[in-house]
Amino acid sequence: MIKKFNYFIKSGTSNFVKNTANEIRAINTKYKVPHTKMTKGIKFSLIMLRVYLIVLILILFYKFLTLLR
Amino acid sequence: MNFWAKLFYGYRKFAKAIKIYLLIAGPGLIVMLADNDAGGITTYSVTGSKYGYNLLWFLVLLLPVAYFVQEMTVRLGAVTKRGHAEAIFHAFGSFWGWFSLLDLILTDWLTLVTEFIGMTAALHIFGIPPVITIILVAIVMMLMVIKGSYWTWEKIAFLFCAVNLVYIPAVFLVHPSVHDVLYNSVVPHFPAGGFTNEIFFFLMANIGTTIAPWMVFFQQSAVVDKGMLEKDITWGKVDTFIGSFFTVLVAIFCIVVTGTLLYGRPEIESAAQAATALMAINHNVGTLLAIGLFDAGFLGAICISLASSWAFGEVFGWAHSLNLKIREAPWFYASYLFALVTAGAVVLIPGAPLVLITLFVQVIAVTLLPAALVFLIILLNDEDVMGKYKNTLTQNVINIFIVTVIIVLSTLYALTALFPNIFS
Repeated sequence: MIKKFNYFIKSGTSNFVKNTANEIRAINTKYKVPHTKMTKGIKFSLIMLRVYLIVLILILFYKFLTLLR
Repeated sequence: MNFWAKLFYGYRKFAKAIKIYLLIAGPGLIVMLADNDAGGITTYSVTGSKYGYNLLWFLVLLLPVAYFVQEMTVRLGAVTKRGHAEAIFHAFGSFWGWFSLLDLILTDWLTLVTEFIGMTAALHIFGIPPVITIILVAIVMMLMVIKGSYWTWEKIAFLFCAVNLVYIPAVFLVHPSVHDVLYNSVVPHFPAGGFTNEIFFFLMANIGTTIAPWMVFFQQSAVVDKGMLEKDITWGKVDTFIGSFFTVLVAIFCIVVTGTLLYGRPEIESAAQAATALMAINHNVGTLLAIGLFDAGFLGAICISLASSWAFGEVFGWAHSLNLKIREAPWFYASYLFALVTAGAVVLIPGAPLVLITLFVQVIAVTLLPAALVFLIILLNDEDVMGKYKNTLTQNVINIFIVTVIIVLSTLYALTALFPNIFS
């Protein structure tokens, strides 16, 4: 009984993980190419956004480390 | 045409306009009133207790801010028929798409926890245990969507929006000085002691409660789910403006209530504390504030959980409409219920780090807000997609100014929340 239950859980989980991974792959393929015209202004905005987010994440990481100490 | 015929014609025209508005009204009004969520009511209550009417003028300034940002989602949703998450994937590719989706899910879930904190605190004042509150809320929220009709959901949401206006009768019970309220609403100034770090923090907190990332995602998805078309954009804008007006009105009235009765009580740090303190002074006013806090949390929760489910559905291609029955859109409703149950359960965990969660909401929201707003402006300038509904030069100047100010202030707000003494 327990073996059957364990098998059911394992196969269910692995199916879920496989299906989700396939769905994510399909989404990545579908949206591989951005449809917005990448003008200089848009490229600059996106780079600034990346820099902003990296700085913010570094600050969060620093706060996390100081909290641990 | 004689006078009476002209009058009758005018009346018919007005009645028709009202009828059309009532058909279109919904996403703008609901998102704006839900914007005054549990966190918002807490911010307003504490602002009133600490500074009285002195910062009312700042809230008046937030009316155009809320309107101009949210109005863009109406146009984008009606023209593209895509929710904001899907629009980001389509326009900017999977990197920015996943970033926005995952950040939205995290921000929404954490905000949902804060809504449950507000709702349980509000009903605790009436002696209702948190576990009963959470079970009741989860049941009501499921009943709202179970019929499989956007129209039904929207009309029930309107009822809760109407309850959000309880601060208006509360103001009439506290008899504030009308002259002082009007003066403080139109003349920008700071309380005695001038501009301090604490005031700066509260100004930023008020901005943080006015524009939240989930609002952008929610309204655009709601516009699409409601089936609004390009011809409905004008009425969608009217709906958003009326919503902005009411959100600021409720915020001002909430501050007036606490500012009149609790001004000079800096120990007040939450809306629940304010409601309890008000009950000792005027039982009815305290009761109204507690009801308002519960309703604010509830309105926030129904919109936030839907914003996440819509976004998931758009990206994963699941059926994702309130017009579908549970068996027709199982994943949409499952994610809706999952967010509700898990967020409610966190509040019930003894010793759960609720203060830390509240702090993190402010910070995590700031990682998503700039991206969502920048994407919004870029998308609204895409002539191929938006056609004649793209941003005009005036709209761009106003929106870029607003978005820049929001990004700078919300970032400073997050930094102040992380490092309280950073600007001392």
